[in-house]
Amino acid sequence: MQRVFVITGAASGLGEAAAIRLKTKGHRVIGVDLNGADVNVDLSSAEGRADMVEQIRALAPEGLDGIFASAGTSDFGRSGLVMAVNYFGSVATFEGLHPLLRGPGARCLAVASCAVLVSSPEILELEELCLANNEAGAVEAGAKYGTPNAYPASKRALTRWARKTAVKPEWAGSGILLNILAPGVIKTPMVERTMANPESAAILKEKSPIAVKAYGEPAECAELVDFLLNLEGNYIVGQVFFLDGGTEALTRPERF
Amino acid sequence: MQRTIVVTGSGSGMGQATASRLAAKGHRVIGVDLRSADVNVDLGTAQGRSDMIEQVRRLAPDGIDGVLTSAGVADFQNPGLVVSVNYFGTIAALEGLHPLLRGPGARCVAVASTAVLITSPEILELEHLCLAGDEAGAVEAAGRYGMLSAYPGSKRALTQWARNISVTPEWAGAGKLLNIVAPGTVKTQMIAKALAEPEQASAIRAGSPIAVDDFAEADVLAEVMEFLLTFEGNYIVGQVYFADGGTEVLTRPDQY
Repeated sequence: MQRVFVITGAASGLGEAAAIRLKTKGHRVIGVDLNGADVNVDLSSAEGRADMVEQIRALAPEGLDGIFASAGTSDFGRSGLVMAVNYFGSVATFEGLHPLLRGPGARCLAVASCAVLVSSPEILELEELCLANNEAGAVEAGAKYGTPNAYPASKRALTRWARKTAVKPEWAGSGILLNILAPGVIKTPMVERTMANPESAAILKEKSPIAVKAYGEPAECAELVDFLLNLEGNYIVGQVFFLDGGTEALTRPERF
Repeated sequence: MQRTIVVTGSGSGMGQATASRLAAKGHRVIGVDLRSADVNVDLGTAQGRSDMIEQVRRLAPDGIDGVLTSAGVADFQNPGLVVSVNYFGTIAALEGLHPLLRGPGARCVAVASTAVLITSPEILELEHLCLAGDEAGAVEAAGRYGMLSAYPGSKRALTQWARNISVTPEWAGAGKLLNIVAPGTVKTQMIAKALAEPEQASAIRAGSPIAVDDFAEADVLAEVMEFLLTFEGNYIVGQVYFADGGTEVLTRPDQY
């Protein structure tokens, strides 16, 4: 059965890999990105978010079967933007597109990161600002604390938001399942730039140990995304799927 | 590609549902159960465990591609058997069959339960006895503490064991990926009977809240098992996949 999916961040990395896989399987993908996509908008602005919903409604008047919200940034120079896109842009995507989802049977996936395993007082403060829906405050504090805090905080807040939202009557209660993907180190262009520098490559290796032989490929990620977006069963709700070669299990073996 | 997969507990419930699903997809399933399976043994005994390995080796001289350990008991009359089968029988199966796994590419799944969310001093004591490899001590303590401690204790210990072992060079390092599925309430024969009794039904609903409309059939779990037994990527390691209709999230929303 052909399904209609929205993928944000469709122009590169995990979003692109998922779009390729889903299209190959005969599904229809509506790609969203800053440019070069079906819907070209900036998810860091309220206007871009509203535009996206309107354009998708026009492109898919019969509704949607799923969302993969992979748009995200880890820009070191713009840590306020990290908060605006990763948390507020993702939440706006799910909330704005929810009315278009054809439930029961719709499946959605938020993108977190193994960075959710990191915490600090600054990270927790940023996380609470997000969950209090204080975008101006989170962007300002994000700019102050920098990306090493803003990135984990935005992903931690998104994970908690998604878990709380997933169990609501409008979501799981309506057969619309929302889960979370938490990739570890995946060889996207962003990570390859990091690995090209011996110093940052060493930091990456130390902070993100893996138990398998090689870092993951975007295509490996797309396989799990495909499974979770096309899940027939109606029983996986608000789960965090670490896809990390063992980083999470090595970092906190006793927690599950 | 046809894969050869060993399924313990293949005679009923999730084991049976998964075995049927895998067979329908063209895989070869070697079923293990107390009776009427390809390999008929009692995983509660040392003899049964070594018999099992030997018989599987004979049936699959070229090796196997995966193991699903769904054999498990929840017998109120025999809590000692609960730890014997659920923990010691399961790790004996995974350890004993490991040399037969054709890695890289082999995929294994241990079956835990949402019961891993429960703790008490008795449960933790049983868990430690299991992880220390003290079967006689664990069986004796389980007899004293009863099923309601033995079951969570056995499943917690199994989850911890699987997470620890999954990241070792012999497993993830050799491309043999071991993950854990933690089912919530599933309408097996036993549960369906309990749900027909109003009093028992309300106890189940209170103990295992769900966010979806209904408890799942065993088939729903088979879809998840199939994915984790056949995925092509090499990056999912030691994860616990709760398939529970929301029980885990509702029980501990802020933890993940």
